[in-house]
Amino acid sequence: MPIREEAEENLRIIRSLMERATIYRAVSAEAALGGGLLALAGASVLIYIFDPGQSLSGYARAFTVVWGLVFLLAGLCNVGFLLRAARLRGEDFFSSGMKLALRAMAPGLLSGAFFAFLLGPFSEGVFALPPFWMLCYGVALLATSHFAPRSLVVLGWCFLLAAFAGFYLQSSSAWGMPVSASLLMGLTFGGFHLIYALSAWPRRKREDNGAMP
Amino acid sequence: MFDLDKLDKTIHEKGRLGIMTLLASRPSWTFQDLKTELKLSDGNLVTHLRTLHTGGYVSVIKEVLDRPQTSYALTKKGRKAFEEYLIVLEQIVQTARP
Repeated sequence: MPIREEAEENLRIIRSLMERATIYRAVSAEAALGGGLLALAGASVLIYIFDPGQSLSGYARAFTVVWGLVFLLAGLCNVGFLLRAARLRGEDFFSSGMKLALRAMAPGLLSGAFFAFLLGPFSEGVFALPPFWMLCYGVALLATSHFAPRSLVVLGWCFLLAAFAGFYLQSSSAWGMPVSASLLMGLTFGGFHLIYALSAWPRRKREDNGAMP
Repeated sequence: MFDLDKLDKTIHEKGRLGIMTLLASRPSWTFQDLKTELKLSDGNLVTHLRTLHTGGYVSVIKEVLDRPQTSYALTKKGRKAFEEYLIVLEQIVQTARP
């Protein structure tokens, strides 16, 4: 092989390996789209179908079940898309990047589950949960910042700042109530993920096109 | 013509180039992760790592956490050699450009 072609080939190998080793997208754009739509659907169901005025405890149960289902389905959706992406790249699902991401995100995600347990699933305490979940999810995403693409880091910051705003708004009487809690979840877990999916989609395609064999 | 002697022959081999690249991307890599990422056999990986270690490019970290684990990291000499290798590659591409 001529020396120039060999040099270019080696530079391509280096670039490809560096990208694979240093960039890991823990939330795929497709999963964000699916998760965002699920979150919007969940918020819509809670806002338009259930009436907290009839039974607050019933609404709390519905809130727990709906968001539990949304998180479960969104998580499965993300696992499915990450699995497909790993197969397309010819990598193991539990690649070194995946293991790094899991280790980085675990404290934040476990904290979110702990707050849900602490504030009482199925009780009226769940209406105070959205800012806690936003905070924990934002921290979990930001924990991947040293190997995540920029769009995911921005998403983490959006959740963190929205959590601060959520805590602030909860201190006023109008917020922290059932419908506003559902609205906050829809706006953040729904809206933010849809915006992230839109912004990550074309950028990821460009990255793929520039990637090595 | 470009002077090929400028290319570091220790790094200029696909397997070792892969190892050096991965080690340059993170502080350390376990043997298992290197093997998975580069899709090399145990024997091949051991041989390349030994060559790089002998050349002073790679340090070996042996730890016993829940089980014994061997990790590898670039030494200062290794990082410098890798950076110089990259510069030489870029020079080749630049000078050979029509």
